[in-house]
Amino acid sequence: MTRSAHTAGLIVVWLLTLLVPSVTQAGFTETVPKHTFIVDEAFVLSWVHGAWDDGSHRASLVDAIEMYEPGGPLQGILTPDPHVRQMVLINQLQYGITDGLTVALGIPVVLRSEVDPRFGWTPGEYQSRLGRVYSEQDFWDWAAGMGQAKPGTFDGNHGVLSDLVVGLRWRFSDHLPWLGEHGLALSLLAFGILPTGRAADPDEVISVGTTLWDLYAQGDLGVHLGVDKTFERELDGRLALGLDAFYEAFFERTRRAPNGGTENKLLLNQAPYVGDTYRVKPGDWSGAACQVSMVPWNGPSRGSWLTGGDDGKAARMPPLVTLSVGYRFLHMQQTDWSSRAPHWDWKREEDKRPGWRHTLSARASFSFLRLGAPVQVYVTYSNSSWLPGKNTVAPDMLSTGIQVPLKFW
Amino acid sequence: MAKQLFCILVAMLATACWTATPPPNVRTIVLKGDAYSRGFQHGQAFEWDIRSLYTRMLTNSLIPSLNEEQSHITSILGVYYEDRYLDGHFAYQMMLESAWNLWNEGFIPETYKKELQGLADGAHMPLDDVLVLNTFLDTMLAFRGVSLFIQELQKPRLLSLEVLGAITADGRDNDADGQTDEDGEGRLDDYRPSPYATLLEVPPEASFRLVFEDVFLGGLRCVDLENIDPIGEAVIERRCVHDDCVRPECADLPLLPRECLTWEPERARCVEPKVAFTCFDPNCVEIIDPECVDPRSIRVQIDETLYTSVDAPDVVAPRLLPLEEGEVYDPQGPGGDYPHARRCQGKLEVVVTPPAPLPPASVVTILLQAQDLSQIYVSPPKRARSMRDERIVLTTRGYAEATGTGATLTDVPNVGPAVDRAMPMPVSLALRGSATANGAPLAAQHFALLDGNILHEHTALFVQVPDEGEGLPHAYVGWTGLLWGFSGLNTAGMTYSVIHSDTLDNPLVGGVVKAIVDNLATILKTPDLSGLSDILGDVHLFARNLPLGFSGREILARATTVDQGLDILYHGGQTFGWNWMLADAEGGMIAVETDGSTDPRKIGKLRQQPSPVEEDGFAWFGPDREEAEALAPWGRPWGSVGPDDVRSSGHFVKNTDDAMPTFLATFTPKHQRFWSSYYYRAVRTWHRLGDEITARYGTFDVPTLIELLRTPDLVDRRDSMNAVIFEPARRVMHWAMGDVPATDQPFVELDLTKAVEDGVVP
Repeated sequence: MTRSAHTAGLIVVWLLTLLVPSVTQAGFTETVPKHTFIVDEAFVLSWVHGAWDDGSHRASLVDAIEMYEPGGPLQGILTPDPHVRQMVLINQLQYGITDGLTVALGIPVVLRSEVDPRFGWTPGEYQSRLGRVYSEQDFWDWAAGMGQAKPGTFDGNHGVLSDLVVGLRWRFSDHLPWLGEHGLALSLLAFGILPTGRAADPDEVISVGTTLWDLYAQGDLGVHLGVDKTFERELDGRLALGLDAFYEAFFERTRRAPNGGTENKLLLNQAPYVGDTYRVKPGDWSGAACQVSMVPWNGPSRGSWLTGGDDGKAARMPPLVTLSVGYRFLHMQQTDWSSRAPHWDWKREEDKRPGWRHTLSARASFSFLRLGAPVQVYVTYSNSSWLPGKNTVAPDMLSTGIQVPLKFW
Repeated sequence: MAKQLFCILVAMLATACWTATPPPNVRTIVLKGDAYSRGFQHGQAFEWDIRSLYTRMLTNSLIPSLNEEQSHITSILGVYYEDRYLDGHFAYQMMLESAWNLWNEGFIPETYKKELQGLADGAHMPLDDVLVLNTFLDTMLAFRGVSLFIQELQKPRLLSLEVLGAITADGRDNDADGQTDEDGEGRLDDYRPSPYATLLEVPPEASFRLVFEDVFLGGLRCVDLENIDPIGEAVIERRCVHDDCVRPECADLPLLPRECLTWEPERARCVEPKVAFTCFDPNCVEIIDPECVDPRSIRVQIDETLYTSVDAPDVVAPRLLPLEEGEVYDPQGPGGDYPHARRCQGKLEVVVTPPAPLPPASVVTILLQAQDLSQIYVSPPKRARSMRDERIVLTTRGYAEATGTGATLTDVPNVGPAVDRAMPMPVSLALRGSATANGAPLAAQHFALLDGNILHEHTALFVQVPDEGEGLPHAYVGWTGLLWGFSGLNTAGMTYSVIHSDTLDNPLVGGVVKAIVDNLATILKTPDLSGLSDILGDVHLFARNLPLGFSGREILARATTVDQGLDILYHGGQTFGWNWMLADAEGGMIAVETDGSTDPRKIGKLRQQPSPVEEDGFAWFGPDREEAEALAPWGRPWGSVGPDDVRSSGHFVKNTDDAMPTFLATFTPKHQRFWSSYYYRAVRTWHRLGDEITARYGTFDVPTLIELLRTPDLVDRRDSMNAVIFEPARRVMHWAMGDVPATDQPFVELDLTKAVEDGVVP
């Protein structure tokens, strides 16, 4: 090892020894200890295979289309059943201004977006002009003859930045000792975004944007009120309950109207009557969530270079295994399109009428701080396709992440 | 700060409960002033709706669809191979040129030119687009007819029908020709489609012999699968093949001295039709129209049961007929020694033997269809040429006795089986006197043609209030951007409605025929008729005469009686086949059947009378006609079930010999009933409409008419566009539109007199 590398390593060790125990607390009121950084890298895989319609029935993301010969019988029914998959890398940096006030910066980067349209075809009736029943190939041959090729799979957004997020959480209950005496913590979280994400290409039949709205992630500006209840005395801190209520607002955005480009003139030539641009105001979100966190196993602990060899400090580090289950109810208001063509607006607004989504989640966290390793990893699964929603897509998600606490002073 | 936060909170709460609702599909407007002003108001009020209709209906839908027809046309009219028609511009360019021909030749009256200009200015759209939007129907339907006709020439057709069995000894006049059991009774050697039964009192145990043929138009057609021609299709103009399709041993065969219209003329060669198929590399040449009915394609439906030659060979048994006496198989003849030639050169006979006797004392429907062995790549998907579903109706023994009717062919309507997959055609009717509950006249229409999930979002009710001296105030239901509709009412109580009726006697075909007739001597000088393509190379498809929409507007602006309306139609000329229904406040009512009347031998001689007379392409009927003209040859009124009604649909009832006779052999335009894909649908609809009128005779009022228009058998559930009921004497109309079918919507009343006085539609 060179002299400079050795020095750098010593500095890192010194920084880590300044870590205080319980570098993170569970739940909706979690903050970062004073003067501590947490680097959080998470890989998120999300997929959407359907949606909930206005009657809370499971439906495809795109409605089926009945095709008829003019004046004649049914040619067939085109049934798109798109499957969407997204891979996102979420880079977060959190900093504890005080023990109860944390600022965070999130930099999500979309690694890949895939959309497989999965067209299905239900043949219709005998067609005299054709002398047979229309097959799916017949249909696409006809469409190609009209200048519209069969849309293929979309595979894009490789390494494309999403919207940056800046947040501030203030655990104000720290100033109300009587709450702490009862194991209660309350916090306010406020965040806002910087619109660095990219809208979907309007001239592609299948395209996915990278804004947080396109990713069904969060609003442009939000406020969360969190409450956590821990049972330190009763259950040795092995159980915590959390509640969160929130409101997230979206701002109106202006987007370019489709003109079909060179490939999709038939399907997407809409700018002549929609206008060159249109405005869309996504419906605001509101809702509430609850969470139960359990510590099935604290795990061994031993003094290490992190604790300066102090076994007691090590024992007060976060538990080795923490399991959480949660539920979130999300209400979405009507999304409003405004263009020159009210009927075009309505066709989009129809799928974005007020609705809601139920999301179940489970998380497992593994903290190795008490064993002397300055790293925490977690795995989260969330599901929106089991419990019926309304007028919403049903994304499911699997994520895994690693957190590394750092302290420099 | 607190105040700002409060405002934000209020705004959030205000929008929290908002749910989007669909925008209205129907607009109403009163347009006042001179023609230009009224057009301007129209354009200004509906600018973006007009753009929406234009883009969605024309640019994104109809034009691409019509572009598919280019190859059918270019095989006859070479001008449409020019650059300006390539790369997807064919349909728009053709419609634009046709529209400007109407404008420049003076067929569009000045007042509507001003209104069109005002519309364009108000909507900030080019006059070109507005003009195309208002005349495309005239051009498109005529063009569609031309294209269908060209395709029809190359499709199989039914030549003859014969009933096998004891029909010549059954003691009945089965073909209603006045003779019983004569030689050849039950055999129709020259089959003709009919709106009535074809045979009567057929023995139930009968079988049928059908003969089909597929016409060979001449020339080798080949497809170079590796190359695409300028119009984007894998079809080469007939008789043109590439060098590398011709085998070396045939390279010195004589070539036709004319240019092949391909994108690489220097590589193309023209060969005589008689060149043997073996001269071509089969890997790049394929016969696409081999003069062959495909025996595997025969479909026969008897009432509700379908039989095919593949699934039921004992029921539907095809066989190639031997060449007729005197004919000698000629390997160098049309078809040559193509691999299939010996298989199918000739006519195809199909013997249909129903597995069980036909139901006695019944009306039986036979539906026939056949394809040929061609492989059509244009207008994908790839397919053979299919003949139109041919519908034949007959009665079986005992029907006349059991029902008290059926003694003549016209006693039995050709309506087809109980369940028909095809949608009904539009209907128009007028009633008065003994047909209505209070004797007052009524008129109605349910129009359907094409919605495409577009038109119903752009509907509008227009009330036109012209300046003094510019015409009568009137109202019509239509669409944003169109100066007209398919029906209307004016303040004199005059009403009209119109339905399209396929015809090849239209100006587009007329232009082609005129060019042929004018240059016949030149054409006949070349034995292979190669001069024909030279002559037709400069012919354009131009609409002529007063466009449909402006014919209707003229009736509303100037006519107060059906006679005046008839006069306008007579002297204006027609762009296509149209079935008009005219009714006035005094109870006058007539149905008028018109076509383009383009017989080149009669140009300048038609429509010259000071008052309307029935002549080529102009016929009318109704309860007011003189008795001698009121009845069809079979002794019943042309289009009435009683003394005070008249009806029409999308076929000619009286103007049945609509195509002018020519001597162009295979290329002779046929009468509507032989080729129109609307024909059997219209016949069925027309007969059903007659039944519904009969059932309610004497009770008709507005609610009863609404009920009739909503009869399921009369409602096109996919392309319905609007429905109207007129009370001419009261100057009131009831309209329904904005959804598909239109008749599912409530009928809304408009008191025209009041709307004109108030200047607003309530």
